[in-house]
Amino acid sequence: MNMIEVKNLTKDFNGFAAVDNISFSVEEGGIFGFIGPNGAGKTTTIRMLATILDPTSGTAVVGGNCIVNEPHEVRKVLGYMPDYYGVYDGITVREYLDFFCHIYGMNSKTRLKTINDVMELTDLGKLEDKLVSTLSKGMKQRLCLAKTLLHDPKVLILDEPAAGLDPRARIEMRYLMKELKELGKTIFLSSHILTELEDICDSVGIIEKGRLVASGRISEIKAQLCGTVIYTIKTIEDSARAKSVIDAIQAVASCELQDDDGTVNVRMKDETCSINCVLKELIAADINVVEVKQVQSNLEDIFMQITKGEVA
Amino acid sequence: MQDNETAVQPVTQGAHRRLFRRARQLYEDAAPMLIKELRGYFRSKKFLITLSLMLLAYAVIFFIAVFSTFLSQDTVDLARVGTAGFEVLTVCNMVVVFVILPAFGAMSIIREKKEQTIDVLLTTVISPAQIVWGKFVTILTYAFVFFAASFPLVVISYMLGGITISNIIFEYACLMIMAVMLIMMSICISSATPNIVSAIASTYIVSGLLSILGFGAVFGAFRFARHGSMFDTDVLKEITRSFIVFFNAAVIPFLAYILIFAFFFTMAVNTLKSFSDNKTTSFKKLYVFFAFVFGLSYMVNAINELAGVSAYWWWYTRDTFNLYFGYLAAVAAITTFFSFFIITKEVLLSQHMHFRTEEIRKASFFRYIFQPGILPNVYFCIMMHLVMIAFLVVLPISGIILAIDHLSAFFVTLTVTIIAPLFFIALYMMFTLLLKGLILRRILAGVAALLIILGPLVFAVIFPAFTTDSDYRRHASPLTLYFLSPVCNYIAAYSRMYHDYDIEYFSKPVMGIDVFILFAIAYISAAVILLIWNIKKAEKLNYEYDEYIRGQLQ
Repeated sequence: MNMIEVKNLTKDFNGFAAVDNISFSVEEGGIFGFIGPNGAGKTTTIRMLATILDPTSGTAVVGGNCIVNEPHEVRKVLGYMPDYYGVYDGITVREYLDFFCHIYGMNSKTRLKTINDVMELTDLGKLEDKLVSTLSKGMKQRLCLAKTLLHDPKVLILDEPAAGLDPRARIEMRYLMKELKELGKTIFLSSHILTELEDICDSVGIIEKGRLVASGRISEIKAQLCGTVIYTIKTIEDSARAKSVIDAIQAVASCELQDDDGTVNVRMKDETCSINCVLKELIAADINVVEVKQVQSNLEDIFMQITKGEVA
Repeated sequence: MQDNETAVQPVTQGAHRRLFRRARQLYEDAAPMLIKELRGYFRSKKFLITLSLMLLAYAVIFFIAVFSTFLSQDTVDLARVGTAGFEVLTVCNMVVVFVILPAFGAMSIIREKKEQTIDVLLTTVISPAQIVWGKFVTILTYAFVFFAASFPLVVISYMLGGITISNIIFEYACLMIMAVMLIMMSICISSATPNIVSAIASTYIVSGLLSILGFGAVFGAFRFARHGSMFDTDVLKEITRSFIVFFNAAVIPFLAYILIFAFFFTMAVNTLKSFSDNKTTSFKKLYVFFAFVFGLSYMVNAINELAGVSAYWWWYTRDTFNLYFGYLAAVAAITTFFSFFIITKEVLLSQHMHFRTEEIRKASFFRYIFQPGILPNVYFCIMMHLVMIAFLVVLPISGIILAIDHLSAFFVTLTVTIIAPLFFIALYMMFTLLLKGLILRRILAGVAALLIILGPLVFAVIFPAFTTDSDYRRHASPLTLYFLSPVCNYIAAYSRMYHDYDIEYFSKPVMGIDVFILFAIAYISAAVILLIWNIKKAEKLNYEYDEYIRGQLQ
């Protein structure tokens, strides 16, 4: 079941299409990474999903509720954390959370329990009597995340949750995401730190100039983009002869000499082609193979390959 | 404060229980915001400093007033000293109301916008109405605190004598009423402006204007009513007259307050809502009711004037009161117009909420408003009146001298060109709003459009025609009085109070014949062009709209 279903979503600001007819979906319990260059339309999309902005056309369904026709219902199942937000002066961490619990109509007993649970989950217990305005950036991010969890939402929409955090806080945030996933939350997050997204996301959407240029599972996108598997084969010597042998194999799309250390890059025609046939031919030609490695293209490679760094 | 607040109450439930539940609900709606804001503010250094400085200033001003009054007396009259102290405290509290409280209001929503905490709030289940209501109650609580802080000095005044408990209660009640208006106005501006500087500047400009034009009037009307003139036994002998006085002095100001509050509240809430939220509010009936009451007030006064003899009484025995009522009339006219404007907009929006996509919704909305034109007519009319105001530059020919010698002429011209058309526009909107049948609506909208255009001309025609020197007619024609009496009352009262001479304010035409002919030509041409254009546009767009709906149904 899809927890977020976006259909032909468009946002036009006086003729300027910030988001242009995008469609994608996020499965229940999954983590979806939304990536794109600055000004690509990520935050606009997120603000539409969070019912802050109205789409010019198209719609989206969040937790079974339409963002255009049932925004109030969407807000009940949604936890939203913006990319930038201020905090209220003069109130403590517990009071801050208490304020939002109050908004969700919890009575004092429920409030107490909920706040304790959420503070434990986000490790804010020690800071409960600290003024919110004195917290570090990382702690404020945690607090905002804690706030989004108070009403136990099915969907979390997080805009750049790890932005500006130090490495330790970033790692902790990543663990927290995984923990939330285990609790069954559907997480939609945008980030610039692609290595981390790759680690925690099940699927991603890449947006550029307001248009969605790729979306789906990371492995699927890789396959879409490369269409083949690449191997590096290292020989002791005679790499030029190895190349000529490999070139003659039908399953190989291309073969390149990498450098002087006897390594050749072999691109297979499709995913189903095995490297075995290549190795057999090399052994038959009496070429000494010392290392065979499949090249893993990561999310960064994919991102760089797909996007051109243009803004909408 | 939720929009869907029309929960059906059990029939058996007592009225007091329902009232209690409603009061409790109002508190619950405000509670999260109220508690959070009070915690934050009362802990801050800002609060401590503001309150300390305010108390220091109060004390210094109070004691200067008390001692200067004391020293100026040959024989000691403590009552005068107490009264002086109390009056100076009232002025200080008014400074709080007009300067400090609007600043809180102006900062309330704009600060949330600046920090982007408003986004976080709007994605929770709290409604924009709850946010606005919570902010309002919070700032009203600050007002209580500030007033309470000045109370010990009031007690000293009371002990010195010269004032009564009812004086104190009345002054504080008036201050609170003023505070309510100004706080809501400033919150409304805060929600509509893009940054802090414009929020603060706009708040002070609007609060300044309103304090001069409106609130002062209502405040004065209450004060006047309290001093007993309207309950005077001589007045009570004339039942009709006393009713009118009571109606104008007590009922209308009270209603005006509620309406102004509701107006600002609605504006603030709607500004915070996104398009997908239902923008209709629960104040629609209230607006219609108040528009009706304001209309009635004009009717009552017109009948009063038409009765002839009462006109004389009205003009010359209620100067102070008329002054306030003149202010009030302007406020009533403007708020009535905007009320209708809001209702029309809301109804139009709500009628088209069933269209799913924004594109279709937008298209149908614009097609709808281009029906025998709501907005085109209004825009056109506004433009025409801007042209008319520009024409007032011609006043060196027939106006400036009149405006100096006969101040009334200036105000009457202004009323003819601005206030009266506003009423016609309101009337016009009502027609387009209430009538469902397309044909009937077109006809009536066309008539109303004509009235908008020709209305001021009608005034201009009738007005000079009756400006003879005869004893009664020189005051004005009955028709003009229907709309203009409050303003004229104001002029009359003002001139006698401050200039000590009686102006024959209607003894000359406002405009010279040359200007009048120009206006006539401009208005008639505009009316004809507008009508032709409207009919053509309406035919085309209605056809398209009907086709579209037909397509949807198929």
